[in-house]
Amino acid sequence: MDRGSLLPFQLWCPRPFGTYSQNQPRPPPAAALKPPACSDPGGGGTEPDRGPAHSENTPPASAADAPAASQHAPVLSTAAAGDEGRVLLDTWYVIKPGNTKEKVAFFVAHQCGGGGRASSMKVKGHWGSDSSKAKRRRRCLELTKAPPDPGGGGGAPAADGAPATPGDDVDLLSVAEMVALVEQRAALALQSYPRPAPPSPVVFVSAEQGGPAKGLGSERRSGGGDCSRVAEAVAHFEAQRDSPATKGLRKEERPGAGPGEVRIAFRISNGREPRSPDGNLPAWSGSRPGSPGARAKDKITCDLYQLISPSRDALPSTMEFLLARADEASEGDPPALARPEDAPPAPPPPPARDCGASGFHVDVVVTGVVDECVFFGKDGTKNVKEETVCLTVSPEEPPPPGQLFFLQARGPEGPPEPPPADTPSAVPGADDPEGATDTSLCRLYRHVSHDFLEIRFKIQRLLEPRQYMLLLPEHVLVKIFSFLPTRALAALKCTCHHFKGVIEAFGVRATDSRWNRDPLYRDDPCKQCRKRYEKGDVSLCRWHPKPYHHDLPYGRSYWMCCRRADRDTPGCRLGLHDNNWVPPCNGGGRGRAGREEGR
Amino acid sequence: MPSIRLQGSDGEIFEVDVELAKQSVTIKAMLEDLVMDDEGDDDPIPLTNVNVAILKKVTQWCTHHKDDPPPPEDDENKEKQTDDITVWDQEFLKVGQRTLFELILAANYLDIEGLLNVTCKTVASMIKEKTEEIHKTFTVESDFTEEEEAQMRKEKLV
Repeated sequence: MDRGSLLPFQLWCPRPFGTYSQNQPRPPPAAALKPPACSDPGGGGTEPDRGPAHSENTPPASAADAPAASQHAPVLSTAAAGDEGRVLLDTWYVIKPGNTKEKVAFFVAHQCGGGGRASSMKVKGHWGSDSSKAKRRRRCLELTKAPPDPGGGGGAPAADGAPATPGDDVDLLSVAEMVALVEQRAALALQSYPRPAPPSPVVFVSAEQGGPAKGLGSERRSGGGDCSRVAEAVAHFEAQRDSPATKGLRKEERPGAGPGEVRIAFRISNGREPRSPDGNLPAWSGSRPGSPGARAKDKITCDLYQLISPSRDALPSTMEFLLARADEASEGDPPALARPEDAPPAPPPPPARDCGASGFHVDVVVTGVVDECVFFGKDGTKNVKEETVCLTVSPEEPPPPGQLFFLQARGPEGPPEPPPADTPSAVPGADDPEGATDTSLCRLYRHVSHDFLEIRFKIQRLLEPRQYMLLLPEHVLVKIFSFLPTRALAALKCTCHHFKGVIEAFGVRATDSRWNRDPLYRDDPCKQCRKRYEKGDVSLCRWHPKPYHHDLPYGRSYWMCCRRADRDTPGCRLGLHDNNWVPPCNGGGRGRAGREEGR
Repeated sequence: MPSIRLQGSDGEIFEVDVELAKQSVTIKAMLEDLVMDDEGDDDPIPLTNVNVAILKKVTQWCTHHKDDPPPPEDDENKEKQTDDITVWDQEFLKVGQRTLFELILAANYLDIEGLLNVTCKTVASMIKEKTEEIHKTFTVESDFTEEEEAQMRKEKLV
């Protein structure tokens, strides 16, 4: 719209406190009054026609006088105080660009269209019951000029179809038409992607009144327009997306969700050793120049959640290939690869997912180098097998967007670094969806470089704790235990049942044990605690130095050494058992005499 | 000096002096059973429970202790000590747990008493030094129940 063509107008407002007491009587306005820029304090949405001219709130200026006054007051920018009690406002409120056009269109139409036009401005019948400012704005935009379309597709047609001047009849669009317009723009945007399949016509709802809107493209059809048609159009559009014809499309071209899709989650952990940019890396890294260097320190783990699909036909060809490769590997004799003891803060693998999540998918475009891709399936961890599937990128063509991970391996020449678990003698291509039949569609995959696997396995073996003590023969254990003191032997006895059994079975004695070995006194009790020796006994002696006082009628007795009241209180002195009434090295006769003296 | 060929569990052939090999009661018995003459048979003696790497270590120890007197018989009354390990043996046994326990198994299989004694003493010394961390040092998991542990405490074992 040419801004110069706009008729200037002025916004008037009664003096503060809403009075035109100083206004002169005005003749009735020849044209319809312009809508008030300032809302009536008493309420909103009042008609421009404010009643008799002598009303206090009647703006004094009319449309006929506007041209004359406009020379002195620019549009919406008058700042001069009006005379005769009128106050000319500078601005009423902040006007957004969209609103400006709308308001301008309104005013221009009002100026040119006459009174009948004013009423049509407030017609809400075509807008429905839930008209909103957005719809009104959209409608006005249609009237004046189509806004620049970001896609660039719908702008021109809309502009062509728009009325040349605001004064033309407005092609009032229904809600369905609005939706159809949006859909058209989306379709035009989608059309920019190459589609091998012939472009399917998109059904749009026709205009409610008049002829078909020119701005909606040639694909528009005429006919009745209501919300039901919009729903039909949407349903038809979705049906086309899910049609088999779309399965041949690449992933990024496949518009809708399909069963068997894979959910991808990425985990990035730092601290990984820099990789050598050789063939040991996943082949697809070569298609991303510069990325290995950037990710030298990061380890990207891609977790792929393979969702169950009851029909393998619904699986994309790439996923079927992966499953087929996994089946081949499982049928062979692949060495079970240990899970990486990843430090990543990476959390433990998520639990097995439920199979009933068919139809759920997330389209993820893998655009970076992925170090690991882990599939988590529905099977429990005990049923999960770990295979290594080497996926390489065909050097002939770059991987398309969104297909980086789902690319198939190379051809008969095989990948450069075949993983140890697989025998990629003949890698099926993307067009080989058939694979070994398998009831379970979930597998656990792990794709890492061969060198990394080998090094990791060695490190795990080195770091893996092994119970060497438990691997020793029993007589060797007895030999070792026989070199230990009582406390160490007691600690060993409390370590595990195996050690306890060996000590008790073989009667291991500590090096500092004071149990008399003399057959004559072997069964004598300990001098302190009166405990008798048992085979394999490595217990410590606890006794009370001072005797326990018996309960007396006049009070409770207790151990004098530790003041404990219970008679069975453990001894407060700790030591080794000693049943050597006499030193074992002395003669037997002297020993017997000593025992008699001690008694 | 005549030598014999020993084949480890990994298939490698290791040649060692006969006199050194005879420190092993097992090899000595094999040699006597095979009735090997001076020319000897070129067939190696298979040692399925010992790999060549450990065999080399054993040979090294036997070479150093070739002039040692035979160890006395084990006396129960004699107090056993672990501080009588020689410096050379201490340095020789400054190896990892895996190698140490493999030497014990090799000494047990080859029946080399001196080597078995010194290796067992070394392990005993390790246990004495880390009595409180036996679980951690030797990666032994406790399989006692809480009731059993309470009973042991009650019996003053712990």
